[in-house]
Amino acid sequence: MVESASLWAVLAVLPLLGGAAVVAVCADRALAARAAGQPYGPRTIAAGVGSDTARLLVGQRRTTLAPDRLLWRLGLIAVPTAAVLAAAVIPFGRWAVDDLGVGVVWFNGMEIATWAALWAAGWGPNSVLSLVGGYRMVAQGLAYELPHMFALIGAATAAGSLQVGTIVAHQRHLWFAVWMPVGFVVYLLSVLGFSFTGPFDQPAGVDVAGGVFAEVAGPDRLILAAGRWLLLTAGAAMAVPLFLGGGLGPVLPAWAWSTVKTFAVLGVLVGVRRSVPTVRLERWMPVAWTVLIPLTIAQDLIAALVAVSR
Amino acid sequence: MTGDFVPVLVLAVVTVGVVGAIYGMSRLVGVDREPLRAAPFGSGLLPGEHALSRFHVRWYTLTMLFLAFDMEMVFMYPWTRVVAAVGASAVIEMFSFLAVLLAGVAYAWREGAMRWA
Amino acid sequence: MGVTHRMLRAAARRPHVLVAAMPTGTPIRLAVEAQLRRRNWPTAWSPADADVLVVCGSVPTGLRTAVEELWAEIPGPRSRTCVVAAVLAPGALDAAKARLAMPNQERSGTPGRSDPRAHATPPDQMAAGAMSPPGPDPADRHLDVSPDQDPAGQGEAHQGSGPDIDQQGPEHPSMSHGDMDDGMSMPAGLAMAERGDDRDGLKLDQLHATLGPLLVGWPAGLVLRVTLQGDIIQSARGELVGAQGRGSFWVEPATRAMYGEAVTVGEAARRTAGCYLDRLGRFLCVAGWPDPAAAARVLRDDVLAGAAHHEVASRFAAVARRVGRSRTLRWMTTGLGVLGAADATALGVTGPVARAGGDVTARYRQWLAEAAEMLDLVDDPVLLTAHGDGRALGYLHDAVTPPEPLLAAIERLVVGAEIGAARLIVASFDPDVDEMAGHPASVADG
Repeated sequence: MVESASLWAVLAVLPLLGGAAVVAVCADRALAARAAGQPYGPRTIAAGVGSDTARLLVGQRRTTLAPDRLLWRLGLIAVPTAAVLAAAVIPFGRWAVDDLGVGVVWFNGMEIATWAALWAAGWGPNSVLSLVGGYRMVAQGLAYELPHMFALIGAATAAGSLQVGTIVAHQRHLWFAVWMPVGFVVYLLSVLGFSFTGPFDQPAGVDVAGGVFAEVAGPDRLILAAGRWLLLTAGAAMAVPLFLGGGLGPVLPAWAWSTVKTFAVLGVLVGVRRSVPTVRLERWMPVAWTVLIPLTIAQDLIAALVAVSR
Repeated sequence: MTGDFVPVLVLAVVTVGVVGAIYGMSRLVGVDREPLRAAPFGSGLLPGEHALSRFHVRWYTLTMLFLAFDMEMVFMYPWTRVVAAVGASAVIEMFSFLAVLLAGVAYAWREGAMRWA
Repeated sequence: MGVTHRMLRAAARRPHVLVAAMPTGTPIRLAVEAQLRRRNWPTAWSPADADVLVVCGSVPTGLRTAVEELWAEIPGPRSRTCVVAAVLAPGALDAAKARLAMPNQERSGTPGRSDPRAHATPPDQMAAGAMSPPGPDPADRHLDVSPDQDPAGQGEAHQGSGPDIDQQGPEHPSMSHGDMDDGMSMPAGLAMAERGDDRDGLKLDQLHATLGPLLVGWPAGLVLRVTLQGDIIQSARGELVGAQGRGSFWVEPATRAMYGEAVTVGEAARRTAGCYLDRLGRFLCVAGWPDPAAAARVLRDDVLAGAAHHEVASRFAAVARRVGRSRTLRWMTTGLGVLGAADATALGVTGPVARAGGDVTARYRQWLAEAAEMLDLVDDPVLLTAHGDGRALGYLHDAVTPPEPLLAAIERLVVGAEIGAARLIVASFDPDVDEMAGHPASVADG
């Protein structure tokens, strides 16, 4: 069904993931411009993205007083790196860079790496606002991570495998999203969580002047911002094999279905991001622990019972 | 088995290379190679002390609970592969364990461990 | 240089702007914000993301060092401008953009940059139509003012345009030494955090930080010095800086009417509605909801520009419905910063805050309700004084109240709040420095 492609496929990951991320950025900006009564034609939006990229490339870097340079730099670089590595196990149609036997755990591990990365990026500059942002990411991780893992495990249990290709194959008759809606929705929420996007953007909140973004300029800022959108895109793309039947579908080739489904999920995520105010962790934490964890565990129980009865 | 990870490793190298290329390009075209040394942003005021400190996280009790669940995950990932083969006993054992952990969550919630402000 | 120049020009097509709002500069800020929207230039949240620093209004003594510090924190390529009148905003922004695109405009890593003297504005940056304020004596930035960090000193700090706001620390970071460790105890010339009792009786590290004066979505001229443990505020002491006793822009028509000028009810109501929409924009921005915030600002500008009732009523209703009915927003703000009617009276708080008499949710809903009432009056041609009953005058005026009681309430209510919650509380009070005592008279009680 899904096979590990040749080593050359490695070179395709960045353009594909990056391209999808740029489309997501453009959609997001178009929605924002429309709300502000500004022109939002594709040309205007694309020019804006181009100009912003140019200004970060040409702009000066910035350091602060007595920063923790090593952690700061490592944190910034780790964000996009983790996003791209997470994408290694995501099948694009029939090919994945590496359809690991432990693909789900690999994806989970890469996504958790962003916890540490963002904390380090917040700690590095020796700035109060940035520091608060970094610690907010840790708190956010505490809130979304367990429901997220239970959602992943639901899909893995139903397929009896941690290999993403096998999970896709098990959805030949029915998508997991259909009979595991709780797991699917919780998974989407946690994508917004680990990409510190949308309502879960407190680590980069405007109330702390951008939090982890508060002190970064120039290429550092480009890397961090790109990492954020790459994470969102990788998360959206992973929802497709886990819950939406991967490349399965009539008429169109598998890669086309993967693309269509990924953009549909991305569209939903960007829509949620623009239409909900920031959810403060102080309020979200109890909900995540007392509502989402029991719900996802119940979901896993259903998945386990289905698996056993097959 | 370890050979399975070769493509991932190559991808890691490629990604870090691209990040490096972005930094290199910025060095080439940027207005200034030296980073600006500035005080951290304090709404226009300078800081009076280092921000790096023992940051008092109010949710520290939750981290303990999280660790308990995280250890459980270490068992649950391999469990997903064998549950169908082992059958009902595997389901009962795993979800009894989870029920114990959920009792911990209920206790922590009652004790107010999830509120920090 | 070819590539760099071309990229500079591409970058300057859409510069990110850090808006420094000065007290008394409200109409200028409105003009600048409208210009930025028209030009599709985004607003920066911190100096790290800024290309252009736009100072809205003339800089009062109390804010000079803060403005200069902000400028010093902006990486290159950068330019600054000070807009001293609303009509000058377009020209000033054009000039700032033109300077950004200039090749070699500022090699800011060169030694001159870290010299505080470099912060004084060079003459070539005096754009037509925009004037930069004279930079402060560079030595000012290195004054070692020992602030009064005694929390018992609360409430005494509400001076108006007094001397410059104190820099906080026991000693200033010495920028020329950069990141050199000056010693074991004071790396980079900065003290380490010290410990203090927390509310649970533990001894834990405390950080001293300031919120304001120059922060996105923050009331102009407000400085809140807070002691933090983690992200929780342990104590707060506020200051109102830069007041000039000229009265708020938002009550200006009502004030003119009070002095006998012919002002229509519509004009005063228009201004008041604009005030609520401005507040709403700031509040929603802090709440992390940029789209309705932008819609509120567009409405604000249209209302102030004289749009007729039928042009704005349905759009306002849409925004009010979206904001008023948002469950997430209500969930985030319920129980936050509760100031009951009795407490409000005890503190001397009047206006919408007192009328709302409750939490942050109650306050933003009060704004929505009162803004709707005001919008119904915007085309009313009756003269304000001719109304005769005086109540109308007072009521129209009342959106903005003296800021000192509001500050006292803020100081009390942010203690124990997490920073994000504290920001929402401050935004829901929205004290206006311009209404500080010294304002000729108050017509609030009609």
